[in-house]
Amino acid sequence: MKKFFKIIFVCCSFYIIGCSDLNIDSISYSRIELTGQESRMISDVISIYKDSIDANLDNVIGFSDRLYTKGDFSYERFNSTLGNLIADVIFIQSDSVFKYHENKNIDFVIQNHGGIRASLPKGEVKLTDAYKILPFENEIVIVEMDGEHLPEIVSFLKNETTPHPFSGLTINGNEVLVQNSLIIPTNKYYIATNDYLLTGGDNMFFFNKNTKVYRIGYSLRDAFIDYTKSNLYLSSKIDNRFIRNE
Amino acid sequence: MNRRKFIYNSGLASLSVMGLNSCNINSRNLKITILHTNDVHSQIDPFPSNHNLYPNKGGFAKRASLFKELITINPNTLIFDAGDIFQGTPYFNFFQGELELNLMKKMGYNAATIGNHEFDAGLKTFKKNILNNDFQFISSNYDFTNTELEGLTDKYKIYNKGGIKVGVFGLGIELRGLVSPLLYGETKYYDPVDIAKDISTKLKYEKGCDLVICISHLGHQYQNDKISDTLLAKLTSNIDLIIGGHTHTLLKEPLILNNYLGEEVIINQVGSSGVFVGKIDFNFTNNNKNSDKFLVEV
Repeated sequence: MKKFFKIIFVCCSFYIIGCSDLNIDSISYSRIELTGQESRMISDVISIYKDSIDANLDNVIGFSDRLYTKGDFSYERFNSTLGNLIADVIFIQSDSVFKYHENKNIDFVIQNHGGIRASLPKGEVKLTDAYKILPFENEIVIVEMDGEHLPEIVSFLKNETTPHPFSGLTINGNEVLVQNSLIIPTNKYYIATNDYLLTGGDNMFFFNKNTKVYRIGYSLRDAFIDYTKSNLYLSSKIDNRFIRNE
Repeated sequence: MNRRKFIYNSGLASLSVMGLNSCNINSRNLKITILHTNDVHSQIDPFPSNHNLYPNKGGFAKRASLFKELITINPNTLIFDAGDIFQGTPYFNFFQGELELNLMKKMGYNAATIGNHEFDAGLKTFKKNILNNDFQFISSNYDFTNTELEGLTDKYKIYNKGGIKVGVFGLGIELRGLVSPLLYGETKYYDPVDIAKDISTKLKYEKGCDLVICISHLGHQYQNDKISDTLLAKLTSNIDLIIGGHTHTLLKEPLILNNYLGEEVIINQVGSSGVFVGKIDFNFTNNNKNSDKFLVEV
């Protein structure tokens, strides 16, 4: 065994009061961190696949002024820098498409914390970052819902252990505003979410109370890529959109 | 069956890797080595040099060379993955899982269980990739009848390694609320506890397995009563080892819990993205002996 691999191992022992011929005499454990040499055969196979995607993915599409993560939230200020960035970007991009096709505006955006899979590094933003942050092939869908169902959404968001990104909505304790206005139960609201959540993903079953679903054929990742390319500089911060004080 | 008692004769020592042989008391001992990964999430390449936690770590090519070395040291080695092989890098977006299974077959994985992200490219694509790569998936509590995967997965597998029978079954997480029904189609999910009780008993007694391993994508532990590896361990018997996934839990060493009958069950999970490989050696003998427990950090 070469010394390339960092190893932590534990030998555990067991007394056995056996009833079969073979007994487990002892059990040892190692956790091996992969830092060692590469298999040539495997890396050759990888290179064939890699070459065909690298050329595209290495393209710089924008710039980021710092490292953004989805994990920098606190219990009270229940939003993250990267979550806010993604939700705001999806709001801007889907609102313009929705306006163009349906002549309607988005009221707010809800995405899922788990849909963001990587951090946005500081400096050059490459196409590959878009794939890492938003790897899923999920599309933006606009859900039309009556205002009476929105409290259920809010209470779901409040009870989650991770902050699902949203935009256009503010929750400050018991005060809930959509586009800076109180919710009117009989009004129709247009919520930009994604097709995973629409089908009950991450237990967001409330979306099945929709009165209409608009599919705009626009993936989350494409929205992020388009926004980055046209705005070039990405920036975000934790704000007061979600304050939990109970 | 109260068949073994766990003893800690713990001491902290600094040993070279060769020191591992000191655990082998008897030359007649037969060792089964289990290597395992989980939630590799298409991390084909090592992490980039600017990664905040694991710069240059991981990657399939390094893992392949490690596996090769360890198989040379002990040919009685079995390699398993506990699911979520797919999704996470452009390799999956571009090639839909073809590369992951191709490489895993080449590098010596025996089997994997099905994680929720294995459904991400749809069952039709999944089927194509399983068939093209002749890759073994073990799933005991998903019923794929009337789906593309019908007949392509096994409820359990028994591996005979140097006369030791190792029975392996696989458990998947509830799909409703986690995976789009458009992706999993007619796949049915059955209660993991019921299935685990049935299959582990069958493997241990009917099939006479010396070692029963569950590869699970249920998740390590939850705050509520959702079924997890730790809960599964407590509610069942006849399982020796649970190799976990889904929650990306990085355990420094395996968790040892008592099962329903008060016997030890080992639970392990090694984070995500293939940065770590778990290695568990089961030393079998005809004699009842114990050895010291070492905790070694190199």
